Amino acid sequence: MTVKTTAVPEQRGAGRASGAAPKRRKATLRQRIWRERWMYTFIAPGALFFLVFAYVPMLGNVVAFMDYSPFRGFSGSPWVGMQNFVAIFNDPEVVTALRNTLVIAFLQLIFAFPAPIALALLLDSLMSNRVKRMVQTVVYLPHFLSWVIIISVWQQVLGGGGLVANLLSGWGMGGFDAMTNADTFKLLVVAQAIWKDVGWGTIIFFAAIAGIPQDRYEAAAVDGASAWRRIWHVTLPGIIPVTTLLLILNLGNILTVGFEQLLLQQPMVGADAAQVLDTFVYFRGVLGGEWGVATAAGLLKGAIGTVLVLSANKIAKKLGGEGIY
Amino acid sequence: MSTATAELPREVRQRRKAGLPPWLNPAPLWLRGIKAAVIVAIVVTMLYPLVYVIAMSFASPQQARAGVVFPTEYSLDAYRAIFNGGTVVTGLQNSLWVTVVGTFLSLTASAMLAWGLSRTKDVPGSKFILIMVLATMFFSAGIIPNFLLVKSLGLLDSLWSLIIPGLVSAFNMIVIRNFFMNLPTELIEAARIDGAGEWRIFLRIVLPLSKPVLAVMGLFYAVGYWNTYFNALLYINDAEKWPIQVVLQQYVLAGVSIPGATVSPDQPPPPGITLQMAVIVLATVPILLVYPFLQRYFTKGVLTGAIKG
Amino acid sequence: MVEFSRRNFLGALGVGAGGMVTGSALAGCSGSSGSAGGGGDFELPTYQAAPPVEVEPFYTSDTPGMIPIYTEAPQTFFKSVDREPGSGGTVTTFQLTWGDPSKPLDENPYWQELNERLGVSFEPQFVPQPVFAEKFSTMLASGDIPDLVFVNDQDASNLQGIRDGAFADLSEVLSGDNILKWPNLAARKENIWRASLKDGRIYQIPSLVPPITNFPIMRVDLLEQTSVGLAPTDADQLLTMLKEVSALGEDSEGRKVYGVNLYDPIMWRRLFKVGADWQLNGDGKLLHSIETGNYREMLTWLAQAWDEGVFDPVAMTTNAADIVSGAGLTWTHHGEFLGADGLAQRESDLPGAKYDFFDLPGFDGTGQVVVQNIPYGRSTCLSYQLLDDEDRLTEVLNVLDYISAPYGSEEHLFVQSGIEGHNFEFDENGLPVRMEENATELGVQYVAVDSGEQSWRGYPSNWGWAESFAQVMESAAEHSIVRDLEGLETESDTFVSKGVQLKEMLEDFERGVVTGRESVDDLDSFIAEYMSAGGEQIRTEYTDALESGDQ
Repeated sequence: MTVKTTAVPEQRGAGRASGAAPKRRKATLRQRIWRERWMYTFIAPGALFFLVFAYVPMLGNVVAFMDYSPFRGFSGSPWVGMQNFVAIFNDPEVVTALRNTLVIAFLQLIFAFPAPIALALLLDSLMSNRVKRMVQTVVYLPHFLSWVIIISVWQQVLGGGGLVANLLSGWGMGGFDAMTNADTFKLLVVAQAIWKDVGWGTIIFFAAIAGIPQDRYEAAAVDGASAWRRIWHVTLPGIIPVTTLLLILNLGNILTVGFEQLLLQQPMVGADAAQVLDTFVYFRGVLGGEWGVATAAGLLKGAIGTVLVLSANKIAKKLGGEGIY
Repeated sequence: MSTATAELPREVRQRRKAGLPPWLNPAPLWLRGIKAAVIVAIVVTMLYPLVYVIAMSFASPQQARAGVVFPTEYSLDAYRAIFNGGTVVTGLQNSLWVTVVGTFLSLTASAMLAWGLSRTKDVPGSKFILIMVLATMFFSAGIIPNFLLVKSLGLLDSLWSLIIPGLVSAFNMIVIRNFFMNLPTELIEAARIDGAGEWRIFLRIVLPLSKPVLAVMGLFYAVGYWNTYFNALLYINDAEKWPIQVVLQQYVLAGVSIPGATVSPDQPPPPGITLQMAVIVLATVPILLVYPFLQRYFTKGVLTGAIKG
Repeated sequence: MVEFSRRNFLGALGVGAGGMVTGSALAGCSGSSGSAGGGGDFELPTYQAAPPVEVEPFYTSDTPGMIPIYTEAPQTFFKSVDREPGSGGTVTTFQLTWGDPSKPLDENPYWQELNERLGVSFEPQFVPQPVFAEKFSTMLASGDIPDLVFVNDQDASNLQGIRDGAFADLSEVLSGDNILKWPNLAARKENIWRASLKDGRIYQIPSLVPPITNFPIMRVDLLEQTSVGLAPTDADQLLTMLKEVSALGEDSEGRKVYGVNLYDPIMWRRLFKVGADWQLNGDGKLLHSIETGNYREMLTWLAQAWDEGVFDPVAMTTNAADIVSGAGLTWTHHGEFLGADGLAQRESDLPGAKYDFFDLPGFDGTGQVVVQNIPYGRSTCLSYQLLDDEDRLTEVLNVLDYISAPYGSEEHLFVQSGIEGHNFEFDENGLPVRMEENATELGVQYVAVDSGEQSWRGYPSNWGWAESFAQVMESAAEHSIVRDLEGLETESDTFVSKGVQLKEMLEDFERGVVTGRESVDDLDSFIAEYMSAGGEQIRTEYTDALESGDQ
């Protein structure tokens, strides 16, 4: 909150407690806590929730340093030090997986991240509210279909025996198959991701646009700003806070790219192109019953994500933005 | 480029009638043409898979088994098979309860926490809590610790196990907080000077001003609860308490081959693709219907109205 | 080869085999299951054949790997067990479910009748297949093990559970003639018990799997149009045949066709006589199949076939719904003869198509090589907690004995088909036909394991193919071998933990070579990679297991 609220006595109780010194002097910690005591009633339930349902089970992550087996349990499984982490780094496949993950994540950031913003702006510029709502509803449908279906549909259109291939071979250009081409696979993955979630992604931006006070548009229009300029000077600044926020949070999850989507398509294009960290951990740790290895991989991902978020947040603040906290 | 003033042409009057502000001018024809073309292309590509899914769910068994690109003969067999089961209705009831109760509680808890953490500069300790919440987005616990926790709290086989362990999503909470922090400050400020307490400000000013983001987050939570599948499988053994997704998935799994299982003549034949598609239709359509109702919160003008009200 | 003597099958083997297991598994054995008194001497359970079914088989032979084929159903049913299994206790289970969850007890006459006949309160926990592994692990972690647990010992975490002592060591309880108290459990042969031992002990009651279950079927209407016809005799002829099918482009109904539309690695291994994954060569050295010359030839041939358009471009998919074309050859299983959805159904679904079973040749003009299945499939384990209470242990074994009654028995009919007139009716062939409206009631008992004599019992609509089914299966059996490592698959810890990853790695390379993404020239470097990623370790562990078995 950018508002200076420190001096405002908000409750009779607060007034009495700080009543002796209604000055702008820096309050002691205890005074500050007492003054904001009502805020803690907002915080307490949520904080308790995260303590019990996030942090208590997170203690289970100690198995990253164990040769864990469920029946033997936490107390019965032997400690193995850093062995699980060593196992991950010693696996030759981890390099491929990491490389693919980063390339896909990078492409997602460039193409998939801005896509919903562009679509939201396009839809927002529509005049008719009815059309706007209808289109909104349609574009968010693919989000609800599973990857199995989506890949099947793409196969029917862009696969080797699909619509486009048949069309092209009718014109004498045989051999089109976008679904099994390992070289372009990463672009395909991003295209599929955009197609599936672009509409879903617009929702949050719609909310942001709806939150922009109407009078700003009016003022701009009265000043003679064209539709383009109104987007540039009113809409975009209005959605920058949420955009920054989503960008930073996305960075934190950069090592998590479409597990199911890639797992399903790996047989078609090969592991060299489609192995990512999550599929690697799945084959290496989960299916092999190696809880320790799978957990260690999760911890590594979390650590990297946290570092990225912290740095991005710092940069955002340096650039004059708000950051997350 | 006229800045609508005195003359009030017919066009403007019409637009005013349609609820559009008078200064909003229609774009030039060529631009509208391009927009229309882009929108039509997007709508067609996004609608096709759903049309495909619906068509396949009505495909005749023969065509479905033989494998077709798009069915031409239709039947209701798949839907009949699903509604014969009887547990579908129970499943729908369970899901409805979890979705309604869960969304309400989640939204309440998330908005409260978001407001509580919105003034990290003023409230000692709140920044620490914010960071701890943020960290849960990147570090998660495994299946087993979560299961043991739910079990030790006695939530196994209770529908509450589908709500409580995921009550607040750090992501949703942080997005709400972000919107709170970008609310126009004047009103809140004024209320504070008038001596309004935090709860009063929250209920009377913050929440009404935040309808768009609350609608979005409500949708996110509702979709999440409606699609609950994995947790339900882990925490609920009593088939009577299974939510609809679990019940429906059973039809898809019917006859799935199990390693080493022998095929016996009286084992049901594997599910056709029609059944799978019918399951998708039934599992998805109810939640799709929620969205249009929320859309009105995204319409411009809500904000000023709310402030006046 | 491993030879165990039937008599005096000592616990010593358990120690011997366990010796190569890492310390952690040993710790598990001596810890949790120590109280079980595990480690004592035992004999493999005595085999006692189930009473014969009173109908004549359509086909039988003595060929190892072949089992009888029936086209008639028994009209009278024998009683397999003469007692009320339970005495009023409760039996809990952890079992896979297929289909719609069963109706609750008070609305489910089948379940009520099951309780009545079992004399216990049967309380199943249904576990859907997609989360089976996760549920299994949480069940182990919680420490409460249901009485009867479905176990897939090919899965790493399930095997871990067995090794850690979550399940009862039944070696002594079922040793030798002890098992005769449970005649239905006794109706399984020695090789099945032997193959399912873990660290030399009995932890699971295995169900039976026919030695050969998978094979190709052909589209006769397509193959007839090729210059080769229906019976290619070697790889060259087969290639010509498949190419010509792809060249047809469409079938009589205008549907797109290919030689093969879904890639399955096993078919080609049979054609090229590649053999089991791990096999002993002439010098008694353990080889992986990828190290054989035949595997290399197979890859070369397949790459050529792919290049020449034999395969549907989507043939590498894992999602069957992606396949919308027809195929000359389709890799499938015995359900084509046994099930209502078999060949007859295929023909009625696809007008103009004619199907038949296909006898695969060997690539060099001699016979193919078929590797027989591991002789047991889904298994049932008993909770370790039962070992503290002999009466309960007996009661649970009685219940399991009842629900695993063999084909042709009254109990089998009830367990599998339910109550006559409510869950099923006999058709004109004397086959029980389920009544759909109450079909879901039967979901209660999928814990059952099969026992008795194995046989193929054709579905009436497929009886017209009985002759060619018999011929193709007989031919496959004649050319079949038993894996050198039978019963030792899980004796390699590296195989258990890294087997899936290695399999994925191999399949990925293989698919790459076939589709032209990689070259067969890279096979040597791939083998080196495979071996260093765990293959060599597995070889060592298996070699040790073979040696300790020999002693």
